[in-house]
Amino acid sequence: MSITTENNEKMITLMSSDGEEFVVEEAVAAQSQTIKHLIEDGCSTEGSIPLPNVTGRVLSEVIQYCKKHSSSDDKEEKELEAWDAEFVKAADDHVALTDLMMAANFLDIKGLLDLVAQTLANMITGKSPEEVRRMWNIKNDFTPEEAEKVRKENQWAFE
Amino acid sequence: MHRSLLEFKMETSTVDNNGTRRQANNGIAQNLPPDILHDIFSMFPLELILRCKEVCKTWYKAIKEYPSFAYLLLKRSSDHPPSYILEDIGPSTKLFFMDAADGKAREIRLDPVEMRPRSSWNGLLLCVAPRPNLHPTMVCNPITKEQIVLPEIDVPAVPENQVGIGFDPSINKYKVARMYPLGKNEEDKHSLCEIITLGENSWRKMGLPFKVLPIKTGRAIFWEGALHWICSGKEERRKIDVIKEVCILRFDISKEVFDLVPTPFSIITTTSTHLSYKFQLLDLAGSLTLVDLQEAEKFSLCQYKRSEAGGIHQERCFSFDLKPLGKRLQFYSLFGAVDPDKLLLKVSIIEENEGVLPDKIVVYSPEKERFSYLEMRGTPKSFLPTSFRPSLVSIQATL
Repeated sequence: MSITTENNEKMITLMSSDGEEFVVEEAVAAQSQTIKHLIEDGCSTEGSIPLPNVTGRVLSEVIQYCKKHSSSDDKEEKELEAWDAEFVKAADDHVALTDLMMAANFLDIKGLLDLVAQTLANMITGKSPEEVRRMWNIKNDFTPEEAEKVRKENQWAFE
Repeated sequence: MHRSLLEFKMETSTVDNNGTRRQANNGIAQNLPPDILHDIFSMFPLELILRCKEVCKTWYKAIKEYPSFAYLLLKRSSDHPPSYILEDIGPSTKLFFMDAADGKAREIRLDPVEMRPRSSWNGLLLCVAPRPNLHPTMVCNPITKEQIVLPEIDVPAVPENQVGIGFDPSINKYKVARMYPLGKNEEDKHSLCEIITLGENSWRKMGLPFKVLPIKTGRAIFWEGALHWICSGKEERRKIDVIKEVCILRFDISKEVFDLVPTPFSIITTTSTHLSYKFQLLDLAGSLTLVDLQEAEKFSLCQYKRSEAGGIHQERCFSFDLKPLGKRLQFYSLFGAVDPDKLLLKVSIIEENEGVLPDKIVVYSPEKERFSYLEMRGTPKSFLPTSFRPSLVSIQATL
């Protein structure tokens, strides 16, 4: 379904996995390379674009990001950086960040992908493997022998 | 058709699509697909990535079993400050890793320990055993500890050899070129070159089409698909002096052909002249650069660029003054650049009363005539640097 607003901006309808519909400007949606390609291929003319991997909650955050980044130009780089920092802070925990990460990956939004990856990187820097497991709720699936083998092969080459 | 594109996109992303918010306790990070893990891990310093291998099997496999991840890391770290392997040329034969951004050099241990680095590309280090053996020649990745020993030269008592490593994108393999001189008399002196493709059993032997051999202990520079060495070319006698032209020997790693590139530099030889102290070849912030160190108070540089015909040609020659660096008895060599106008210089200082002082590293901006000492703990007293970018690249695996 393509609607046109008063100022002639083409609108696109996105549908999340849980059936929520979002009507956004084409320029905003096109921040996603995946959506951009679908639009270019004419997929958006027959109705809303289904995004079966993204929930409404995550999609609304992603759209927030895309809106901000499609309306800002390079001059506002500093301001944009500060906005990005607030944006990932609002996502608060690693589960929310991981959801964002997967959505950014599926939708192919490079800037968001890098932003979330950098945030996750900062979160685990300086943590031991055990602490990382606890933080991400990861089960240690190595047998003691395997763990020892990995640790050995891993010993940092530089003293 | 459009529908199928969408379905394809959905399939490539292995996400559970029940649409509900997952709980924090279901180990979500353990089930992330490798490409997402790669995106996250590629933001980490190498040491942290190694640590992540210990977390769980999914992470271990994502890091270890995808050769493309090593190349993603290299791409992402391309703007990282340069790093080097420093060879201790004092009484010990230790090797050190130095990252210009790190502030501290760290010892690195190879097996066998006495191996000398000669060339490196994408984190793979090519080393040779010291004379007189010259065997083994070895390629190793000091980070992953993978290493292979190259076949021994089948000519006995080769007095010296020169080696270099590079990557051939046409077959996605690393290649090593190893040259050595043959023939006792001046007339039948010639050089042979062996080209060894890593991961293959056979190698190729070819004669050098030129009567030259690269300088001793010189480093091979892999740049724009070819290996480059400094070598001395034609000789001319003038009264008691012998003047030798300085050339660059170039080996195209894909086509496997040699080429001799002229330079504007020459050297007056005496028996004790060691070309490697007078000239340097390096990749200086992306340009192949030959440096003439013969004058005490200035460096003359000649930079090359690729020509359309496939070879290289001189792009520009310039020199810069070393006087701003001080008047003591100092010897400089250039070994890299933090960025194009911030050069890394090694300074060897001899004090009248104290003898040889430890080598220092200076960051020098010739245009601004400004310099500062680079704080670097743990460097050996005198050293030779080899450019080296640590990586997870596997010797055998191809892209």
